[in-house]
Amino acid sequence: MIVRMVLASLRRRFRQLALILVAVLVAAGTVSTLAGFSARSRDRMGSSLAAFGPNLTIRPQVGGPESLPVAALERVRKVPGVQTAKAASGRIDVRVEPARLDEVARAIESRVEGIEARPLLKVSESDARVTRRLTMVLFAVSAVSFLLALISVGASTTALLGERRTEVGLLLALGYTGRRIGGFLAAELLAAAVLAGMVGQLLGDLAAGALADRLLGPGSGSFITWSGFVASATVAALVVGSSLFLALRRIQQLDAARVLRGE
Amino acid sequence: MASDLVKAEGLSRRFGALRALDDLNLTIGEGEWVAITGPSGSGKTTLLNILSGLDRPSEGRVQVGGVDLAGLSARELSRYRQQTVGLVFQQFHLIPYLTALENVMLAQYVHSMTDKAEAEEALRRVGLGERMSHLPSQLSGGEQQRVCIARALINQPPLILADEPTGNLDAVNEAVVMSLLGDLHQRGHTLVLVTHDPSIAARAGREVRLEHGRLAERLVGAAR
Repeated sequence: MIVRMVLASLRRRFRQLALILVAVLVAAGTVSTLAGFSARSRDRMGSSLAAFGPNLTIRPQVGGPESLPVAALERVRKVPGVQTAKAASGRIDVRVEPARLDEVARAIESRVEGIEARPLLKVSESDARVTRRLTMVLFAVSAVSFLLALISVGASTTALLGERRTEVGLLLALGYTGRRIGGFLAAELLAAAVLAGMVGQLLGDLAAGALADRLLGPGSGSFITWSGFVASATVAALVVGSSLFLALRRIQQLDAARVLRGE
Repeated sequence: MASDLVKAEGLSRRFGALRALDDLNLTIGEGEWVAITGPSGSGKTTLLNILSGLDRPSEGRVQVGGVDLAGLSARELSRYRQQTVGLVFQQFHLIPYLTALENVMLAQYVHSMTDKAEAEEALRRVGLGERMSHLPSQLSGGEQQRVCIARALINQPPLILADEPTGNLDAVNEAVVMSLLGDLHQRGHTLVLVTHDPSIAARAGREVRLEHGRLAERLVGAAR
């Protein structure tokens, strides 16, 4: 019975529900883009160049001697944490324990004079700056779209309830409790939120993947990110939950006798 | 003599300075058909709302089936409406996107579980066996009121409250609806009917006339 009621009501009120769908979709989409992009950039920026290859390079210090000191290779090999060290043209390629990359780089610089030890990352520092800025912009856009979704879904739910005052009054007169009527409304809103949240997450992860590929270069990993799913589901639940809370309060304040008299 | 189903003592309902009901005393016996009449603003609908548990008295008390409605919580009043009262409205108040059958089943759903066969039988009883899958917009006013009556009687409530049930109907449909209400009365339901129409009131066993929220009772037909 409840399924039949919800489906019939959704069909009848598709236009009104469209605004709720769009608002949740945009909010879930932007938040999912933010979460997906952050996850991808963390993945790509934080990892070393290769799983088993060199992840640190040693070059002569800028403004110092033009070539590396003669005993530099031997001294580097003796630094704790260094796994392999190999001389290349004008530099030494070193593989260190990934978790101790910065610590070992500092140790090498303190033990061998006139050199610079730099961890190798997939992205340059300028790329990292751009990524950070983009993440901040995405965060701001997500916050705004979340607030707009809260306002517009709240307003739509209130308008929807206003149109259905007689229906709610009748259900109260038949003996339905406010909570049970809220359950009908929740089922309708949840159906809309689940649909909008899923589409929003797909679009968001698609956008996040495209942004990450463009800024950080093509990477591997799944198309859908777990953090994107959690973010879009949380946004949809928060938006719908707060609207439902307001709707339940309105239902409980409704005077069925006056409504059914047409007042 | 049948025992009293409804017993109101010193019943008052104020809306600000306005006294819609003023120290009203009234008893209605089990299986009785009572017509509540009176001019607009005399408190007829307010009395019906209090009897249906949709409103509460400002003073006095009203007992239905031995239960004092003033002492019930909101949840208990919901249960009272589910189990004790069947409502028939002048405006029918059917859910527009549900079929006639589903509108009847809606009342079953709140009471217990839905029973499609039982709902179909209720619609057949009001002469709508062929119109079960129609939406309210596809039904005439008289047919909509018959759906409303089927919905009111589906849970077999002891008390049926009807607010101007023929107010929006033509003469033919009025006769059909009154015949159905008479049938319900014959089956033992207690019927309280609010009406402006003296010919409708004359069909009841007793007419209770309200003026300025007070009782001006006179007897019609089979007096108690």
